[in-house]
Amino acid sequence: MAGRVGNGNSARAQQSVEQATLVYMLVGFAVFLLMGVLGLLMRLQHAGWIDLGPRWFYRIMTLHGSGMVAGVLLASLGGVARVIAPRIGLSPRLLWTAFVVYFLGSGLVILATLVGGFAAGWTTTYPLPVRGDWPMSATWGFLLGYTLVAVAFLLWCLAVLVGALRTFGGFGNTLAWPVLFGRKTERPVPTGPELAATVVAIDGIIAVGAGVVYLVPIFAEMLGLVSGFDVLFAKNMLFLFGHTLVNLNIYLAVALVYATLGAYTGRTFKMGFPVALAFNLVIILVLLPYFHHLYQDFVQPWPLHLIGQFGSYAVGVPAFFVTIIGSLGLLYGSRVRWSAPVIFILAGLWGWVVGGFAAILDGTIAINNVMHNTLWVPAHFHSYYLFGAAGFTWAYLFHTLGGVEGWVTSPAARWLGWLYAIGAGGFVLAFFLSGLQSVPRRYAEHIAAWQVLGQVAVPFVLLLGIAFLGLLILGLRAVPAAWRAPAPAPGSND
Amino acid sequence: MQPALRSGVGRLDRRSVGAQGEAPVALGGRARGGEGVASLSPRGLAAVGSLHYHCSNTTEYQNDILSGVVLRVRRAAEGGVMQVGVGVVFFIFVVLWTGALWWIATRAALTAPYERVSAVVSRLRRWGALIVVVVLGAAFILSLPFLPYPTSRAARLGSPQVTVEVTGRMWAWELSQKTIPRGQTVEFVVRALDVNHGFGIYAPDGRIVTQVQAMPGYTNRLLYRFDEPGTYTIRCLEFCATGHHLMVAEFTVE
Repeated sequence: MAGRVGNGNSARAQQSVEQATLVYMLVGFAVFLLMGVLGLLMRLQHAGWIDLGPRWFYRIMTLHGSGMVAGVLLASLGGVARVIAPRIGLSPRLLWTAFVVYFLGSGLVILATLVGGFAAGWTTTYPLPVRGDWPMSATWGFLLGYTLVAVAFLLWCLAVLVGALRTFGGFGNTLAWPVLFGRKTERPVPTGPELAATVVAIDGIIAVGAGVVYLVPIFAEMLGLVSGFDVLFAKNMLFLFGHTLVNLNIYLAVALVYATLGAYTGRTFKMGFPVALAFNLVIILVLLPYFHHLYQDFVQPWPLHLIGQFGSYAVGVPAFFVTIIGSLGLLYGSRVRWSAPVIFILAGLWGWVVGGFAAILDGTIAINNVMHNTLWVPAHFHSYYLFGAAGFTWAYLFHTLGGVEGWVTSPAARWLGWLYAIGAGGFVLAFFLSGLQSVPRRYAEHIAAWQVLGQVAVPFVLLLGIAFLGLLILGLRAVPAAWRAPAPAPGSND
Repeated sequence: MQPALRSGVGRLDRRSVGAQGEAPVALGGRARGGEGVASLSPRGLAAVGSLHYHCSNTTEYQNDILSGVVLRVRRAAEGGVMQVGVGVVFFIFVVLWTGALWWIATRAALTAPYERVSAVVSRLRRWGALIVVVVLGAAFILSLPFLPYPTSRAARLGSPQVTVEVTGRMWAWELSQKTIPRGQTVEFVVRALDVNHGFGIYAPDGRIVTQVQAMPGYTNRLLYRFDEPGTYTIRCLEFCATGHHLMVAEFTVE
């Protein structure tokens, strides 16, 4: 077991990486399920069928949002690390260290919300974290938790970037510029997942930088060093951090689509000009849409609003024409092996595009003026996240646990996959209709006229729960084997 | 009435929240409030859009007709049809996209040479991307006349005739006046005392007609004209902790 795989890890180190990344994915999946239960509680409250009270509702809402982002991101980071480690050579020790830091941070967030009573929402828009009706210790806990999660993410980004630069030599090669500009190179060029991971690492470092700029003044205020700082600047930094971080998750998940779909279609997702162009554009485009969070801050200079609208329109175009059309090309006429991962990817393509189109509509300033902070917004990001970022990641997790011939192709797994698609679809469509009805988001109590669509959503959430519970039972039996065995070969990552 | 807060909430000043009627919510009612179609008259059009209805020149007359149509569309879009339009466009898209994926899925189990599929994918990417870029570019430009910002709205509605001072704080709205004349351009001067709030105005039929953020340390100016009389509800649209959903007020347009 001493041989090397590609230019990166030894076989032993690779096995250790695979074990670490399996833990990332399984813990992320567990967090996702628990946060889903909290989401069900919130929809039951919206339906008027339970009474959590506003204090607990907003605590749960805060934990649901931050936990979902952290859980799905953790699983995606693990999945991508597993795919790219053979050539990029990620250190198992670094992955375990990042996991521990991430875990501690998540623990602090849980304690701060459930015990401390912190309830500023997962976005924690300044100055609410320091002006809310909860103890300051809860704010400390929550923001320190966020800091640790951001540090762990930063570790991952730095490791990927350094590894990629070492493997491919220089930024140009690492970003596949020889492919982009038709130049010959003697160095290897990155595969689709490797390029996606590198782009996420670059933008991730920028996003974490914005997060630091956001958090440091808050800590300074809590320490009594400053009396406050500019709320508009804070909002810009907050959403440059938060929106970008969440947006980057889909590109991690895209890398996992590349690594999964080929295995079931027998086709290859080739690194070529379109993929290289798309991901190089994404480096810039993904940093622009965050401005749409500030459209209703009329004092923000209007050119920034227009940049936000441009970015909201433009960021989806490369992804649509490369990943989505490319994935459909892989599927068409491929005699695909229908399985839970393939169904999750197909559903993910549906939800990603639907959520993206909803974002384009809401990213239009004039429309945003009547849709902002209605349930249209969670409708958009639940489509994008539940189907896309999470759905693609779970497709790869199930593929990792099942392989092409394993339990994932069983009739039970396929039925559960379709059940998930129907449940998630009904759930998000109820959100969209509520958004059109002008139902505000983040309300602990809904008036009677708003409750109907909450009641419609609940059965779909239950379908989702049944689907994930069934897949969990099927998948758990495969964990010991996956822990011991090497990962199934990615089907399409060249 | 708004459901009462059912568990204890510290620091909540219920008296300041005010009575709140349960607004009937209609999904996509016709344009009523705002710069609604119903209010359009040649005189109004002339006043707002500098139109001239007594033209001697045919071309000028045609231009006026065109401007009138544009203005009507603009006003209709800013009235209640915005949500309806968004809903229609969105669900048409969802049906088409679902159909496309279903079509692919039903053909995924068949056999097709990948070279042929790849060629189609390449054409789709080339021409599809071009079409989408053109469509999005057109949508971007066409959306610009609808910007909600003060200079943009002042150009359409005229200078404000009424000014209403609005202050948001946890968890109440204070308005300098609770009665607003219909058909006049109103400027809301919106501030916040503690944290960010969202000043969202709901029409009597339950849909949002416009909104702006209330931010500590900043003053946001929101221009609007109410053409439909009735009771309008202000709801906070930026999460501001435990009493957020109770941060409600009303004003009357008459």
